[in-house]
Amino acid sequence: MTNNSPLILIVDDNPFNREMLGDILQANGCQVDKANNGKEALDKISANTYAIIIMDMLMPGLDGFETTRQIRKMGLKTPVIAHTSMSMKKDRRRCMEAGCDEFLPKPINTSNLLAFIKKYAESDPQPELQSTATQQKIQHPDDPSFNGLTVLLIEEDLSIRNKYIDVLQSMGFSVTFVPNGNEALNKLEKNSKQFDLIISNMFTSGIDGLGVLNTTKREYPHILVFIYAAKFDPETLQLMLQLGADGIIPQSDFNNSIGKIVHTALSQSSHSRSNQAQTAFQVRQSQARLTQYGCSKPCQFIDMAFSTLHDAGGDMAQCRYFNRSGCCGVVLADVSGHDILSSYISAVFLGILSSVWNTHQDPLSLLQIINKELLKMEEVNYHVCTTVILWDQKKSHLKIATAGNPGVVLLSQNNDQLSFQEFEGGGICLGLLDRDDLYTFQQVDLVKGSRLFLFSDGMSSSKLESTINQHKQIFLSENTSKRELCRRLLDAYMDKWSQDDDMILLSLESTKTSFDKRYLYSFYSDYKEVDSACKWISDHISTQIPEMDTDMMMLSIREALLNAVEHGNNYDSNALVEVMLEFQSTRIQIDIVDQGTGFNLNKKLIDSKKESGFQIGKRGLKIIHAFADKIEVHGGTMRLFFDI
Amino acid sequence: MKTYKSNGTFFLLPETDLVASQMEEIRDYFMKELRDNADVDQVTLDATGIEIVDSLGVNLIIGLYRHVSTESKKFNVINAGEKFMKVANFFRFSTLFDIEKAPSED
Repeated sequence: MTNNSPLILIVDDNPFNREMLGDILQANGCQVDKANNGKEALDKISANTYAIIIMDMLMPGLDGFETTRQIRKMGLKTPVIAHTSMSMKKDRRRCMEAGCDEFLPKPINTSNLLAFIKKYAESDPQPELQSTATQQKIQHPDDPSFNGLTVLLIEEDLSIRNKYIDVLQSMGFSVTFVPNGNEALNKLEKNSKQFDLIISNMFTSGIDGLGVLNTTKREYPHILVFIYAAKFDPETLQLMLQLGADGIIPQSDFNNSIGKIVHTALSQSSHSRSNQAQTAFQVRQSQARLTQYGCSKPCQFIDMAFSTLHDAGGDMAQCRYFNRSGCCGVVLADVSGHDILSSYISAVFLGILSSVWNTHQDPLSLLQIINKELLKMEEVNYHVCTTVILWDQKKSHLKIATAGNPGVVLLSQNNDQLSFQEFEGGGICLGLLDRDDLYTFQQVDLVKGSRLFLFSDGMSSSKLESTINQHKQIFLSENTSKRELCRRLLDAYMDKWSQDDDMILLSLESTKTSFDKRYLYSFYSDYKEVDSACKWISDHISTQIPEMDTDMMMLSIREALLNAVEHGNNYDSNALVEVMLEFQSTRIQIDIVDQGTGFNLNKKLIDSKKESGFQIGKRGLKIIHAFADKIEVHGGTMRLFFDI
Repeated sequence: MKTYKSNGTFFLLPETDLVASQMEEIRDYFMKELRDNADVDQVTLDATGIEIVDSLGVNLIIGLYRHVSTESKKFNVINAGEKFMKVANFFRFSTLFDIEKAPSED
């Protein structure tokens, strides 16, 4: 074996196949390296240069198709021979579409294998492993010219920086350099149009190569970004590719690789890149809309914040106020994957949610129906981790179900102490199995001063608790603003723990306040029940304010209750009317909630004025209006105020 | 609830609140009694025991008044308590028929 022997990487999860192939190749004068799976292969490829890669296409985890795609995304043109038991014509086409150069079915035909090796070893487009920069002329075979292109080089080490500047300048690049990501982003902020490419060491102080890549692809998509490092772990490598790195350069082979990798990236037309950037921008915009409040004026009890890392797919959150019983629904979901299809699944998920939420308010019921609908799509590669909450704000009570998402964290405050309670999460994600008994379910009462945190799997409960503890003055001090609480916590979380996935954080605050004298009552839509409700209300008022004359007030309330039974619930004896009676310092507030859609109060009041003195409008508004000091109608809720 | 006739006047005594939960029974009973006693000159609603009158109760009273009036008979209310009077005043019943307060209300 000589230094001129081609170095061949065998990627196969089957040790027998690896050994057999290795023996054949070594017997025929080749050097051999082996990888057990796709991840390991990418790891080796990022650190070494191979003449040929022999790829088993069917492997667990990262399979041969995806591994080959990622190799091509890295800008490497190393010949890949697909070695697979799939032998149909369509299988061959699939391999070629993934980026393979040859197709070698199993069982192995040794003469075909050696013919491929001979073909590619002789026309080896890759520099030999042992070559040095001085031995290799750094030029693409097509003699590309990089004149006129400006590179921002990010490298802290002075000697490496000077060496790379020489290399890049010798290729025709104009080079500007900075020591780290922070200074790079400052430069870009001042004049991003100045640069065509960024070439960055993965590891710099402050903002590292990953941070530069992420920001550049979001803010300055016209700039190509190339990252180099002495060694990449497979997870980081994948993350960089997902973030849109235009090339990944093994530092050991910087001098030889950089020209080809940049050339490959540049060979994509600028038009194509511009379109891609525009598409990515639109997908990001759409993705941002997946997280939103369900009410135009969100209540003071819910807060949410998110930080996306990927262009597509990822996390979403929605809340909705239900007329029925005055409850709210909250859904936090995380679609698997981060590609365009993930975004499509997100949109489908929200479409399903939107159409079934009102009729499936119970969390388990909602998970079951969405799962059923998702399974109809047969998108077996995509699933949705979901948390669903039915939040009775009047009782500050929560019903929580999870399907694959982390459990919620309850934060309680006792004097100057914060305590946490973690609830069970997990369960089977939606869209995977036609089973509806594999979700988790629990109920929580949010007592005064407590908060419930929901988050996606980009965060962990222990890290969140640690972050909260570090910023506990926000919770302990009554003078500290709680505005944008989740945003502040999320920023603090990222500062401390960094971010390696999309993150979303929701906080639900107890709806119980210290000033409330609040009483709740509910009844089914029946006239006798109206009498009982009136008695319940009257008794409470007499107890709280004995001197108050309630005759006409009760007449008004009675009419509002009748309105809920007759018009809101349309005499449906199974439909609830909920009553909330609250004694405030200067007035009494009564909320009467039915399951109807509500009505236009002002229009009905105008109509009632047209009636003669002893006519009664269909909603009894004349009486209600005559004796209440103020009326508000919000959907199915009629709110009456009586001054004390 | 009950009815009785005296000196050409037919008396209606609900003896209960005129509210939605009672309305169907009261209406059916009174209408039947009025049909069975069509030979009277006057119909009087005795409000003794009526504390609450809701919108359906108001409709009943107005309905009784209209029914009696179409037969050219007189309609009035007696023994109206304070709470009844508040509703009666609000709906200006006294512009339609006579209302006599209960003795204790004077």
